[in-house]
Amino acid sequence: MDMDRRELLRIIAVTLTTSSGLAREHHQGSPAVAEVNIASYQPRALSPAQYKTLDALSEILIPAGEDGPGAHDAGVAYYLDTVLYYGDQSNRELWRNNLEAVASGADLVAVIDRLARNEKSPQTAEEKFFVTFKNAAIDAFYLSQAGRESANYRGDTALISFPGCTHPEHQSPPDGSA
Amino acid sequence: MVTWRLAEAGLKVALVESGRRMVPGIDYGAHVNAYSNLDSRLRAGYGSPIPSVFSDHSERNHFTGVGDRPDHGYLRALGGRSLCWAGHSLRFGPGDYRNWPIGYEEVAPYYSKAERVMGVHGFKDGLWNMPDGEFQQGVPLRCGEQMLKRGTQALKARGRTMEFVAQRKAIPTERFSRAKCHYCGHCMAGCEIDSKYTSANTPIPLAMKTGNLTLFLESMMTRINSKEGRVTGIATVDAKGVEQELKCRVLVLSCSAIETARHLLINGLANSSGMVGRNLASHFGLTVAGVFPQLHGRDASNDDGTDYYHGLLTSLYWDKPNPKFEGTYQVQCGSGLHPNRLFIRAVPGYGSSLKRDLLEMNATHASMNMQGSLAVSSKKFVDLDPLRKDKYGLSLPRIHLHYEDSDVAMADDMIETCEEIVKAAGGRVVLTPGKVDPSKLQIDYNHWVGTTRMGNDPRTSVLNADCQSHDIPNLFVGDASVFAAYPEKNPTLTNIALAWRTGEKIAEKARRKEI
Repeated sequence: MDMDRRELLRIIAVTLTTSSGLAREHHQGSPAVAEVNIASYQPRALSPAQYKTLDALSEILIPAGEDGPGAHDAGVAYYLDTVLYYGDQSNRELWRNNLEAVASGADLVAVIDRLARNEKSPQTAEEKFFVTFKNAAIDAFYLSQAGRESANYRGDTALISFPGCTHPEHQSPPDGSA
Repeated sequence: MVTWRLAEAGLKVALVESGRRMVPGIDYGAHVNAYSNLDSRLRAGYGSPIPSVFSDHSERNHFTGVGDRPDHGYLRALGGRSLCWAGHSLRFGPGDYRNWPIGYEEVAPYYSKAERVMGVHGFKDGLWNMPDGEFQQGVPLRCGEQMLKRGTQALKARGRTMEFVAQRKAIPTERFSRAKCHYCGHCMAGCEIDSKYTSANTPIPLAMKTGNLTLFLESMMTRINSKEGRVTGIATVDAKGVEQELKCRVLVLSCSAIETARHLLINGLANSSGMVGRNLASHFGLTVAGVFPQLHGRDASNDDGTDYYHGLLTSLYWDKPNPKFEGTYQVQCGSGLHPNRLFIRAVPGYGSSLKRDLLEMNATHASMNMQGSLAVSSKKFVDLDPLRKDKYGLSLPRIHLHYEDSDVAMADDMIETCEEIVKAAGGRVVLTPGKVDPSKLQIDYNHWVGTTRMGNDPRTSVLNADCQSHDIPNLFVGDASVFAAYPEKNPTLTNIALAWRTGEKIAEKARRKEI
């Protein structure tokens, strides 16, 4: 179980050859931060209005609550705008057009409620966009520090040994009964 | 591995590698939050904010696919794809060598040597056709995999033949010559601390220490020179376009099952049998996942481990083949919450219920990924694309893949079995492909083998039992294209054990002046 000193020093030495930021993040557990200030971020792929719609839609999809922060606090709109900015033009246009169309509805909750009804077999362009948006927003949320905390994710920590399942009630009964 | 064994035997070795040397933690290293370098990585042209040695650096447009969506993983780097493998190290068993010119007993000592040098961890399971090895301390199952083991036990109690065991991987868990694993779960993305075995971190440095190895990096072999039935050397071109001729007493090709066949076909060598590029095999698969109410509210735990797959469903159809298909399959099993991905994303709805259900399903899930051996047939092979060439003017390889009834039947059986296991453990199936057709099958682009297979008959094989060309006595092959038949198990450990053996055979023949 014990990681000897030489082993530990070796891991630290190797890790320090990476950027100091990475070493801090992995081995000292300090929260990862974005390269920009998300609160004052100015969108590059979307217009300010489209970005505001995206932020609002994301928060409706993954809201803050007693279970932790939501998509707005996580910076999902920043993440998606950045991905779109460096992506291809046709995809940017797809998102811009669909966000414009969604924003024309007075009540975004009602729009999402309508689009979510057909998400298993989307037919219209709007419904197909909703599925694309939802998958992207979920990924962006759970890649964020807020999303990881919300998921109670306990990894990204160096361990000396891996305990695996320690619950006796999860182990297989000798008679094969489940 | 051949390089090290030859250098260790006192032979002078030139290793020609078309890629460069990559440094763990510099050229790759996955300990990064997506948001902390999103802009800089995308600006640099990477496809994802999460570093991955394969996704960041693998080749594109380097082959032509024909048929059912073949793919080919190709990483030009010292150590190649060993930089981005998961470390799964399973011995082929006596039953797997039935159609080989050598038996398990011949390879067993080399498995032991390889496991000791690679630092393989595992548990002694006592399975006849996946023999135990020289293991370091095993890595245990997570909660979700324990559920699948329960389901497997339940099916065994009903008379089915199968076993559920923990994975065996070339990742040291004890004090060793490489850093001990720290269980971050980023093995396939590239091990930042170089704990996982790679060709670049173990045999090549060992070979360098002998003083007998010269590395030629970023040098592409453009021609194999031969005269009077013998290889005399190769021509290379480096990154600056400088051409060079290297003379050699022996040539060992270790370029991968696709590339080795390609070079032999380009040069018209070692193919009197017509078998170069034939007998192509790989693994293919599908995924089934379930959620388990027993895991509801389980303690939050660090599930990272040694990448995703900690469990293995095995022993299927070893003793009694299934008449509906050739060969068999194994199933790699994983579970838990992991960095940078949610395994289950297809959860309906929105709002707080979506958030709750996503977490519940991912925390309580376990998934089963089939790894089946392709049925070998005349419809699966490698040849040269008559039209497309690479930047050196060499024809690109063309990979022909057509799934057959046997492959589909195997996949159907896997889905049925996996769904039964989930249900027998009290779980609910939440992800399943349903009825299979070829469009749903996914090829394993890293597991190609067989294109220069070994055999006793020069009319039906390219190499003899020493991995030496039947046609050209000083030409050998040191990669998985030598496999005479392919079971369900991962190829790398066997590839390395055979390469070790081939190195010894070459050294022995050189001492006797047979080559």
